[in-house]
Amino acid sequence: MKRAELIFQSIALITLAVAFILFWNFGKGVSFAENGLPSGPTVTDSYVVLQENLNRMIPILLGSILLSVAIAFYLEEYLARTGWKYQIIARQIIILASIPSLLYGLLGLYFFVFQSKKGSFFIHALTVVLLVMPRTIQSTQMAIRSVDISIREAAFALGAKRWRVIIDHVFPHAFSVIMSGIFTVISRALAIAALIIVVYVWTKHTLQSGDTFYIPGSAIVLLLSSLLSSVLSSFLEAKTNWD
Amino acid sequence: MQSQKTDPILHIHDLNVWYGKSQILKNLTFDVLPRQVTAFIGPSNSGKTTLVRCLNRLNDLNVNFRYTGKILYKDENLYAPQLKAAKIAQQIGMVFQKPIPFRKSIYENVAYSARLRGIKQSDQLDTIVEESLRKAQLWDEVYKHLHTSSDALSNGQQQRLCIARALAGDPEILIFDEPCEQLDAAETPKLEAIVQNLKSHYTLIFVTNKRRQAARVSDVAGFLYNGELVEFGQTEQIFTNPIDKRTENYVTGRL
Ligand SMILES: Nc1ncnc2c1ncn2[C@@H]1O[C@H](COP(=O)(O)OP(=O)(O)OP(=O)(O)O)[C@@H](O)[C@H]1O
Ligand SMILES: [Mg+2]
Repeated sequence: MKRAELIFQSIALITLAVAFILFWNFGKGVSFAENGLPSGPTVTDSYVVLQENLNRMIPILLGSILLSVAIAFYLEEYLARTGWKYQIIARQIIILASIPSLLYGLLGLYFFVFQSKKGSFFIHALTVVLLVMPRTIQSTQMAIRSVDISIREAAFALGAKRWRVIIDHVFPHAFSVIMSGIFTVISRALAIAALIIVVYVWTKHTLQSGDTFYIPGSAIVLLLSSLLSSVLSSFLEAKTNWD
Repeated sequence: MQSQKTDPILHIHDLNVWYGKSQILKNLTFDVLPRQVTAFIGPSNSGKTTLVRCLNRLNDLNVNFRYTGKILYKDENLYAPQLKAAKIAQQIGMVFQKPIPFRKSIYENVAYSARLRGIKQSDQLDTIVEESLRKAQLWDEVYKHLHTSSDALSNGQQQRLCIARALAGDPEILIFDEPCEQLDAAETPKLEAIVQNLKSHYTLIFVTNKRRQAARVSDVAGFLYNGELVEFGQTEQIFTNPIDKRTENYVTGRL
């Protein structure tokens, strides 16, 4: 990678991180009153709770991204692509990754907003993990595969061990593509977080106290069909990819 | 002393190689003697690359690779479980058809293989880099800008850089797999000269599909055809007095 490119990427990354932290933390205080939205004590209070819940997910988000990259390297570099272990794991990942983020988002919405009891931390974390990991693994796998085989062979032919080849050659070559995949995934996760907040605010303002929230039957049918078609699609994809 | 010179450094006996279900090499038997150039010639797809990749265990990367027979390196089974493929690859280096410099400076490319074998001191590295670049006859062209990227080098210079990099790993055997195939015609004599000079210290295996080149650089030559080692012997004999009809057809350009 050229140095200028690296500097540019780092600056972009830092700017993004700073902007995110600023918006995320100071956006909380501005709340709705200034935006002309009606605000009562209950709404703002539980909104703060919601945002704290989401905040707690950031370490989980970053952790699952790192774990995903590690898993992708393990899959591509240490497991034989024709072996049964690789086949089984790769199939699961393809299926999970093909489920639309919006479905994970709805799952998240349900558990973050309407079921925020104790012990829901696990469910929240699971939502984030499902949203982030399969796609990060998949995009990292693609990035690793895009590295020219001749570079690996040249390093192996000098007597480099596998982990050295990964650290010295595969990772630096795949880095930009891995990062681009990670940003796509982060962008999705943040958009889902935004969706949760928006829907939360809307419902809190329209629901009368005592009303219970329910998902209409037609929506459930749509959800199930969507799930079914994405699973079907990934089965077909797996067939063409692996057989 | 006499026996040391003639003890083979590689002894291959009845080697069969498969990639998946298709057999690529059939019943190969030959010895490689130290400090000689052993050439392998043969048409495209005859199995030359497959053969040399068995000798530095690069084929271990291919999950479909399977072999039977014996490959002894200094009387030891090259594929013995206690021998690590990385260690073998360091002792039996390889220069590929296409020059493959790393995206590093000229200096770092060469120092890389010295670092791999644990050399850390910078004065030691400097010495190794200079010696290796001199042996690869590249030093005079690059010593002024060792720390610039290897991208700026010409194709031929990059190939010589790869030779220097392999030498910095301190190998005993160096394999060349059609090293001139992708270079300018003007680079070929330079490369052949390097091979001639290296012969006094290294055992060289040279794969080429240019018959004349094999006749020029090698002491011993083998003719591979459809995965069979049709003939193996002194280069002069192979080229002037071949025993097998197919060898004769090939060296005279009729095959
Ligand atoms: N990784 C592989 N998997 C399966 N078959 C392979 C593989 N590599 C080579 N082969 C097959 O093995 C045979 C010998 O190939 P090889 O590359 O050893 O020939 P070669 O003599 O080096 O040819 P060339 O002069 O074109 O380099 C060919 O038929 C080729 O299709
Ligand atoms: Mg070849």
